[in-house]
Amino acid sequence: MNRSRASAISNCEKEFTLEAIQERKRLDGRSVYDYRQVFIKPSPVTHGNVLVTIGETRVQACVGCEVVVPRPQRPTDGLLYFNVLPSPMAAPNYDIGKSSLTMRVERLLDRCFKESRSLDTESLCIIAGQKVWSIRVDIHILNDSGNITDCCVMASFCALKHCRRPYVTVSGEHATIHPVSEREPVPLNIHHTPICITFGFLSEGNYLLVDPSIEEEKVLTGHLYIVMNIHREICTMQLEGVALQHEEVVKCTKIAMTKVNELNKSINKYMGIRTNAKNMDEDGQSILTNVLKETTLQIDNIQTAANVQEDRKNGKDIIQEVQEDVYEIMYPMEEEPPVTEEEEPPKTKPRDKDTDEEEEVTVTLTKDDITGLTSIETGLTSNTGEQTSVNRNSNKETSGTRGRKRRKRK
Amino acid sequence: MLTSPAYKHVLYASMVDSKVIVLPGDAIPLAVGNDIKLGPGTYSGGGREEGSSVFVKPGILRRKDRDGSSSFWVNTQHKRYVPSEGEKVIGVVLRTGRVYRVDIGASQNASLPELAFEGATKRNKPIVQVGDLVFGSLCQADPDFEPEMTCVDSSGRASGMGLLKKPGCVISCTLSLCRRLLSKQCAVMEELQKHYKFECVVGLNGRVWLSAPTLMQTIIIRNCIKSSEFMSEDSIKEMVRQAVLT
Amino acid sequence: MADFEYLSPEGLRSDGRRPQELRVLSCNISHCLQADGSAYLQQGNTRVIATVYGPHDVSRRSEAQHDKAFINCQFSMATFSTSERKKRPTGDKSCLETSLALKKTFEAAILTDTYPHSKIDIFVQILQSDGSDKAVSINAITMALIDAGIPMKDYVCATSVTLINDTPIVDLNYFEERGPGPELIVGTLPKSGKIVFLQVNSRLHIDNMEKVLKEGMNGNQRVHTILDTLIKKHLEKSILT
Repeated sequence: MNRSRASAISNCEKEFTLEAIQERKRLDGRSVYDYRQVFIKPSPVTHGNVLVTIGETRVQACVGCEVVVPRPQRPTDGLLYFNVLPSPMAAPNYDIGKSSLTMRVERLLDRCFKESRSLDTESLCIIAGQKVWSIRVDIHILNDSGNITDCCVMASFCALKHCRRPYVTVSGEHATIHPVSEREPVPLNIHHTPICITFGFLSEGNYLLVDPSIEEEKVLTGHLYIVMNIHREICTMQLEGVALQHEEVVKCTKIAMTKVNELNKSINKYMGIRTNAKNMDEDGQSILTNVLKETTLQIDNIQTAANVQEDRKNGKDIIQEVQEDVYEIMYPMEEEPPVTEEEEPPKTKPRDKDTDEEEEVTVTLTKDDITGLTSIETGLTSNTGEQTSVNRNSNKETSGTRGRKRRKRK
Repeated sequence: MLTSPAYKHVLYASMVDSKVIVLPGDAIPLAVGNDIKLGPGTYSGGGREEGSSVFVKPGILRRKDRDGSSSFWVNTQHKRYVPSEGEKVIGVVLRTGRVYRVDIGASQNASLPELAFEGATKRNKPIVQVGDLVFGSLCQADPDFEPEMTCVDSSGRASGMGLLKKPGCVISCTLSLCRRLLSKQCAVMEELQKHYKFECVVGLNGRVWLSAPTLMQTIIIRNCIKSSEFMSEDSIKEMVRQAVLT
Repeated sequence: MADFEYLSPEGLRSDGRRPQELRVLSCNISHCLQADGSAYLQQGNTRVIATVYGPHDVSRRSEAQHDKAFINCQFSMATFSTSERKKRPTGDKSCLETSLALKKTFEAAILTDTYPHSKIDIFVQILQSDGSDKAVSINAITMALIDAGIPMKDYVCATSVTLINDTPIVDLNYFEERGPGPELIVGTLPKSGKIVFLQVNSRLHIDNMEKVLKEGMNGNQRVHTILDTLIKKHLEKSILT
């Protein structure tokens, strides 16, 4: 059933994509080694909750922590779980629950963070053999537009980096977990930054491309996932479904190195907002204005779409009007976020204190996300509704009443 | 019901040519005075009292008055195709045999008899492989039956339909964009035609096939058409001008 | 200090091998009579059994592919294979991951387009685990596939490599696998030298990458020679008698 829901791909499309790659062109205007635009949005309210987008691919990761009894084999090691949650929301062929995709990504994350010792699990120990922290990372795939692996790795890293666990003091056999209102929560010990780069291969490995989009993924014969950090170390690597010469593999690691450096810069840029309060005002605002620009664009699009079908002559004026209206509508929104940004240090602290326990984290995260989305949409629809109704009321109030009377007579 | 603002919009729209967005649940003004025909996006509960007939899809209200009757329908932004008899669609062959299975983007796959091509006989019929693109019209689209396609018209002629064997690319877009591309004055098409020579087949199921002499041109045309959906005429002109320069 | 244990001053490993030396490899081909192809492979103390069924009809319609065969691969570890008894032989994450990785590897090595609409089943079980489980599994599956007569581009040979004191060490045992060094498992098609399976665990510096990879591929060449002679011996025996 699910199989049929994923739309079929024709030979024609396959040949076209292949031909384009042979000429070193890609459908979205990138060149073969280009990465799509990366955007990372840490939640301003809760720790350990981050949204990462690569192009149109969106993944949200949130971290929860609790105190558990360690495994008997490893009494001083904390636990770290990754839980990838796909849903049909992301793509029609996704199933809820475990699949080969979630398993592959979860294992890759395990190898990235645990086996390459990126997150120091020993620092999660409270009392050896009795109490350790268990960190769970839930990774929600919100939209799959290609290259979900890179996005999941990046989201997990950012969420772990953004996460704070409550402060703990140990005296002898007795451990006290301080509520967030008493002691500032502490970040997790992260030693290095694993960043995943996906390479796609076409026609038996003859052609290579970085960061495949969803159209390209349908045509690919194989993948090479390289996870590296900025210290030029390969944290993990996985080859799938293609035969390569070893020179090609070495070449891929070199390309991955440059890409990792680029991505690391953008991670630092976005994540720096939360960690260094000083940079917050400058960077925070610039990012927010970017977000606002994007939303205005979207609204523009929808508005204009509604009008495109109109009479061409009038259409032009209407679109201009609408755009002006949109800016008016956006104006209050544009004001709001900077206000919260400025007030953030006093405002968020008490909030954090309330919400930093792990269950709360996950709940607020999802709510936050959903309300954020709906507020944009409802704002839009209600605005258009009001707009039209205002016009109508002012101009044709009388005609409306007339119409009503007429009907009554009938 | 009479006082609801949405109702007023509809009434107003009926006076002037429509620039009105209707939402599901908005009442249809049945008391316009003449016969009323309800088209796509509407629901009639029977009877003529207010509120029995409502719009059920969001979109732009369209109205046409002819011979003392007025018809209402809603132009919507859809992605999912619902088969409708006589519409021409582009499909992908999923399985071959006596009857081909064709994916047309609808809830069910369509069937296409192997002899439903121009001049096809048992001995001489086109070679169809899995994954091929076909352009054909739906000769049956009853919700209770499987949709059926054909690549010949009533007189047995291809009239443009058949296999799309030439190398080209396929765009998937919304159904409304497809309809707009087919309209007589479509800004993107007009603009693109001035600069490029290309072949284009539009299926009403949200698929557009196009082929230009060079790959670069195909990519440009593809991206222009894809991004034209939410653009004004002026910005389309500007976009095409920019695209030609690159 | 810790590294001392892995490599003695004389350059010998804990089990007395030289760094590039493989463990003793022996193989018993087509010993499962019911299967279309099977192999029991022993590399040091790691013992693996692999069976292949097919190509046969697909069991579910959704598995059928019109242009190539569907490959199903199941990797499992016997509950008694490790020093600590495992709860279940299959179904944990790393088993499933290995199954998937093996499946993708053999999709690239088997000429799948020769059998459209059909299915090839590969079952592999670790009977005793002493390091390099994945690499030994790949070698065993190759032998079983050859036994089953399924057309392949070439042998697929695999070894695991680590790096200790900047010396690459080939064909790891359990002790070395758990050691501090990075682990690289590489599977190649020995004649063309193409890599079909590659996995890196723990941190490996990019400058060492080429060295380690080369050493792994050399190891694969040696595995290939051994497997080749074993197969030829087996064929001589079965055809001539």
